[in-house]
Amino acid sequence: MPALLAAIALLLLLVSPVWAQSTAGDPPSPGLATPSAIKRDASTLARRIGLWASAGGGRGTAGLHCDACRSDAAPAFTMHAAIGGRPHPRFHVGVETWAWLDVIGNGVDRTARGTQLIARHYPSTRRSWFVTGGVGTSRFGVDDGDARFSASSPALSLGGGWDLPFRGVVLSPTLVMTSSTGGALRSDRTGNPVAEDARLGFWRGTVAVTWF
Amino acid sequence: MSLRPLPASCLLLLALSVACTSDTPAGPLTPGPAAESAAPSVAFGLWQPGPGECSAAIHDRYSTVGPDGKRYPTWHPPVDPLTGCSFGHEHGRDPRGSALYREVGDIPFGYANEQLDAANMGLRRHEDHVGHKIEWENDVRLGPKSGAGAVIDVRCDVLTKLHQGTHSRDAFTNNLHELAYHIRCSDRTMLHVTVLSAIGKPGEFERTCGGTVQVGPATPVNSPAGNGRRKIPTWSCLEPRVLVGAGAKSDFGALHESWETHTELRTAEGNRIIASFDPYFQVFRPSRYYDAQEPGGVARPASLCTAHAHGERRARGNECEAVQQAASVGGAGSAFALLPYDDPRSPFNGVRRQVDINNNRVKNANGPTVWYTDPFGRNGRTAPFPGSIRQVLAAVNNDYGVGVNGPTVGGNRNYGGLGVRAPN
Repeated sequence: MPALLAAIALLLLLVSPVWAQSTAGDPPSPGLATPSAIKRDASTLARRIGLWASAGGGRGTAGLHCDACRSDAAPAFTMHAAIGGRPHPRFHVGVETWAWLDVIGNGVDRTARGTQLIARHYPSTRRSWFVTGGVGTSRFGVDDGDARFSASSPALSLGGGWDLPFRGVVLSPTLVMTSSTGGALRSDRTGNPVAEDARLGFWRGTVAVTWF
Repeated sequence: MSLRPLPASCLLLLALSVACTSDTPAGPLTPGPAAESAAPSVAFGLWQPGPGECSAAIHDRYSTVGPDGKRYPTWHPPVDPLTGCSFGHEHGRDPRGSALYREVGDIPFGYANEQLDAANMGLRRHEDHVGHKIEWENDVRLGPKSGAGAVIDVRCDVLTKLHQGTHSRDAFTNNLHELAYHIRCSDRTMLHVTVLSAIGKPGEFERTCGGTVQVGPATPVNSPAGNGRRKIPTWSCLEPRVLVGAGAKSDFGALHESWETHTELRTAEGNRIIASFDPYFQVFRPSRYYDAQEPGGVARPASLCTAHAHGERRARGNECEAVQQAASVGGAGSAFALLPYDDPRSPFNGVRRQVDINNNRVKNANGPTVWYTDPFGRNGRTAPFPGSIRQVLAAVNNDYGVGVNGPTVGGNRNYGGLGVRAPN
């Protein structure tokens, strides 16, 4: 329930400025972009109409936090992919999945992954920067080939990025923070929880290729 | 770079201005009235001073009231801070510094022994005063085996008290020793247990260098056997490592006792194990070792430095220099004069110890946090019964399928003080 409320709040936050402003076919409201600025970015905006898809990778830092968790945050490679649509010229929605893998050595891997509903909002008609947020699930685990511990819980994401047109596609450098609401960290071998409130903290800086 | 995440609730705060929350502490386990008016336990008043030591009346001031309302001796410093007199013995680390002290309070020495009397089990076992030894450490890290260490970081406060007499023949035969074990960990493991721990089998002990020594009947003769063991050095273990030729130094590390305990709490119904723990208690340079040729089997390490010389092979090293110097100063006149084993100048007094924290298992998910067991930790019920001891444990199951052990605590401390001597 808290995750649901958070999701609704987040989506409302992202959506509210959109509905308060004009749509593509309306005359500009006072204080918004000038017609020339809109014309300058029209080509980029046009590519955002319809469906969109995105895939990218980069570096991320993940750590699990609870009273009995080792919270060393380590940078490692991360990947993500998303697909969705655009119900409004400056508002995108979609589904994203992401993963992070930290190979510690000696056969020990730490992984984090998640799937979430995301929303992306472009506040400015003159700039191609955006804010993004999401709500979904996350899972963090450590596996040494023998024993495995994992924690799953609802998660929220918040971030921002920039769209850069490049040879027919759009490159989107993005910085996103994901935090889970907290769940049981369990031994997969016995099912017993080490902690009930293990929270994932995950920062990722990625570059994605986006197709509109 | 260490990035601590904003809790999800705080992410929500960015959007909704919602506050974050925290958790709560626990109250005391054994609040006690004034000890002076309480009836004395068997353990109270056992200790008698040697020449020049604090009076028994001063010693008796260090007392507390047990859960049964009786007066028990408890921890005191080796030297009374009010009068400056020495008690000649020590009980280890001052428990008041333990993070668990607020919950546990003063530990009544001999409470489990007293409860055995009340339990009407046909067993009676009381121990001397000086053997009660406290050790504790706050915020110690328990290391999970294997890759679990990459995600689990269990930290604990631990407070132990074992009656570990290492000066007499008692532990050669007797396996029942009072153990108070308190631990609270970040993974919600929590134990507040007092038992008479059956450490190994009665009537025998294990040599530190291997093998079992049958000694004789235990007290009580029908003592139950336990799964642990009492490892005690014998002459045959020490001889090759202590008696060395000229230019070499004796390995007094061989003069070392390790009492490896295994304690279980079991329910009356179904004999189900609800908790177990395996701390190992080690004493370095105790004031005894076993030698079947000596009366009662009790031999004194100090004599290794004086009486036991096989030609050129004899005990050498700093410990023996201290013994021989003390014996000479004492007027005996010879570097090989005997130093009484209970001389405060003897380095063989058992003031250096350590406790290994092992395998704190609780199998009590959704169970009651308060159990009453007999003094051996058996017959656990949710209501008290004659001779029962109140045990407190977390309502969790902390079996993760991997060992979560360690660390060693107390190994860097020396509890010697003015006048501290064997028996200690």
